[in-house]
Amino acid sequence: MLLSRSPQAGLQVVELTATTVVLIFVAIFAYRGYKRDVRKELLFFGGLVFGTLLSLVDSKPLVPHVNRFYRMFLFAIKGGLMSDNPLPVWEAVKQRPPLVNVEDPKNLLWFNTVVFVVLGLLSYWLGNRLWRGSPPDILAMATARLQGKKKSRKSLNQITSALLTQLTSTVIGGLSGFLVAMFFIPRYLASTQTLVVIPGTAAWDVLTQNLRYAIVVMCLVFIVRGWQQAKRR
Amino acid sequence: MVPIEIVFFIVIAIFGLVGLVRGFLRELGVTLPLIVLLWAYSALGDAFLNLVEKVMVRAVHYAPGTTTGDLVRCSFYVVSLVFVTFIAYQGETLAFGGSNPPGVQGWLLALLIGLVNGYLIAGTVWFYMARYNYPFQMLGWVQLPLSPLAESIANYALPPSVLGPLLPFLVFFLIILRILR
Repeated sequence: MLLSRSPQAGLQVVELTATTVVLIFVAIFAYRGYKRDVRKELLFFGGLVFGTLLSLVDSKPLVPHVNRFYRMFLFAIKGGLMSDNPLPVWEAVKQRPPLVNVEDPKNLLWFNTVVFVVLGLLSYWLGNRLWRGSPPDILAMATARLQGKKKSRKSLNQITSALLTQLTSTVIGGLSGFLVAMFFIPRYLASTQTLVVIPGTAAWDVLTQNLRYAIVVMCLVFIVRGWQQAKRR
Repeated sequence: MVPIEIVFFIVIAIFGLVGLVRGFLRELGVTLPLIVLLWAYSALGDAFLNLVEKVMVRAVHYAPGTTTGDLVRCSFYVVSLVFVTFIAYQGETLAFGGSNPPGVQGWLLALLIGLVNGYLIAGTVWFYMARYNYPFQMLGWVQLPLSPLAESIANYALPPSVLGPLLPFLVFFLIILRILR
């Protein structure tokens, strides 16, 4: 990774190699994996594997179903279900272009991305719904053991077992990150070099303009926090 | 005479202390009507005042001059705000149910919401005074020109201009919270 500042007008060049980008993805997801239960991570990983397999064929098996549902949806919202004579509505709907056009690469790319992201989010959310528990705090367990606290003292086997479980979770998280990188990098950063230009002054202007929204959102977060903490009568 | 921005900050601090004493949930019950009122001001305030003025012209053939008109318009906003604030603080109906968050966290949250309420109240009064060119200066309550800090606050940091486009969402959000609790 190269980070340099040019002498002219404060232009900043940040160069990231593809390996660095992949490692960033892996590191972020590995950290998430470490913080989450191993079962949740496995489910998430499964969702991403399924998404990756579908992306190998550009999610084409799903396209006819999606287009059919889209037409059905259009038919319903245009009043076809309530109409005495639904034929004209259906004819009008048939004239509309399909939602996903397999001939158009851009169209197929966004469809593929949506399928991948939806599968990932769904498996992540499902894991959170199915298993509420969070992994044990290994550091606290180890500290309690070193301090010799009787109440919270765990056996060495328990600590080792927890450590191995979390290590597995971390590795699975890292693999998930690799799959995400494998999906996005060849599709969205396909060129040999991608230049991202962020004008510094404009960025500062944007930040100051949006500061008020940030403050409002922060207040709302505190309100919701307090609202959650307040006990019901 | 004390600068207006100092009065503004003092009022906010006083409301913060009031919030600390009253607790988080009761203060949140004040925030809701204040936000609803701000929304009503932004959506209906001018239309309502125009209607009243038209009715006055037709019924009693009286149209207030610029200075008097500004004083009347500003008074409408300030008096209605004070009225709603009084009802919100006096009544219990809009207070959120349950018991306050425990410990220091509860205190800090109560202080925060108290400060927010103070900002909404003092800021709205200031905003409408600035909008109508400080009509109370003829009563000797405000002395112009304002300091650069006060100018900046009046131009950029008062609730109706800060929250303007967000008000409908905030109203919806707080009503949902109130219904759920």
